[in-house]
Amino acid sequence: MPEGLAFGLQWGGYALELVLLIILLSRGYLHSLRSLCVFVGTLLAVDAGVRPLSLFLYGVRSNAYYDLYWVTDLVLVLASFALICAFFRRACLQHHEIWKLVRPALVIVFVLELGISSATFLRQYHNNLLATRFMYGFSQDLYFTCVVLTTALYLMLEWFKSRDHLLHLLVCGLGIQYAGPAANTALYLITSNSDARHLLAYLLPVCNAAMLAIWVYAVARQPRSAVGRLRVAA
Amino acid sequence: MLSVPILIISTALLLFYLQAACEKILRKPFEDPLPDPIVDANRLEFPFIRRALEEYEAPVDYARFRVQLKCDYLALIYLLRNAANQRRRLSGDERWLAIYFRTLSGLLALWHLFGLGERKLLLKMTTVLEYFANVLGERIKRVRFGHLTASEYLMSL
Repeated sequence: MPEGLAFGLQWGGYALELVLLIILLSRGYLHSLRSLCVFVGTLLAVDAGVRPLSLFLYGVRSNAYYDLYWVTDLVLVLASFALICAFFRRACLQHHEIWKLVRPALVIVFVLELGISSATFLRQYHNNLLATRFMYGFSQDLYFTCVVLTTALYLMLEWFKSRDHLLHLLVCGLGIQYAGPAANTALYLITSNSDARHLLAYLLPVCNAAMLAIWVYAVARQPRSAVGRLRVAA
Repeated sequence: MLSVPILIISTALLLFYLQAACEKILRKPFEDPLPDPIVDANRLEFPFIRRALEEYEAPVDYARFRVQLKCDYLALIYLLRNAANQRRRLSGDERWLAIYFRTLSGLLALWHLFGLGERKLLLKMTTVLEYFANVLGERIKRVRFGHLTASEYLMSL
């Protein structure tokens, strides 16, 4: 039963990613929400392409699959960081003076995150120290950084009293996607319990599916006339 | 032990974002908010509960309000599934909000048990019911029953 559930969640996630990408492209969001389209495309390519292919080629217990899994995880978190930056830009469209402050702050955080993550990762990789515990700690920090940034964005939208409902829902989805895994990886690191590790195998796809479902709803709910307006604004 | 604060903050934020997503869905604008025919025809009671709590600052009659809201919820869910709905099931957002309503209902019992204020939760529950009534109102407005007899409508399904 749990294996069936994990399988269902996995394939449900792929289906939602594909549906979202189709809706985004068919409704002409490629111009107005380019960053989101690129992110969903990357997510689909990694989840439904690169990872299953490497699993098929190398097997679940191989080092190649293990390394590739964590590297793609890092790529996805960095991609979502870029997405959050794009959302910040969109939130500040009518507040240029705020954007002038936010932009350098985002650049500094991004450089720090990229630098520290890559340096730590490469050092561990060269020393063959990519232990599971290290990877969980590494992921926890990346997820938590994304949660903090998403929350800052959410608070900014509330402060601006933004009427961009689409952006509000997109941000809520991102928050769910990263808060759940951050909490779960922290739980694993505190308890070192295998149950907490198994929980992550379910919580991660559940949070991913929740985010995608909210995004599908947000994008599908948007009337076509509003998409045109968004394109002009972009 | 950086993981402990991360666990606490992330769990709190996860719950916060789940609730925020529901609240954002509830903000969907409707052409004709709170359709009176739906409320009158089904004798729904949530508008009166809301008015009593908001305008008259009435004391919370927990047992009565809870039963009334639950009955409204059951009636609206039944109607959403069966009235002018060829698929005979709830859509994604309706299901999501139904779970939200049941969670609020569970929290209401806990709040009552610990003697915390129930007013805010009751108002949130009425907001969910209002959303359901609005969805139903819009759906029924889209379907043209006027020129059909009951048998013709059934045959057309």
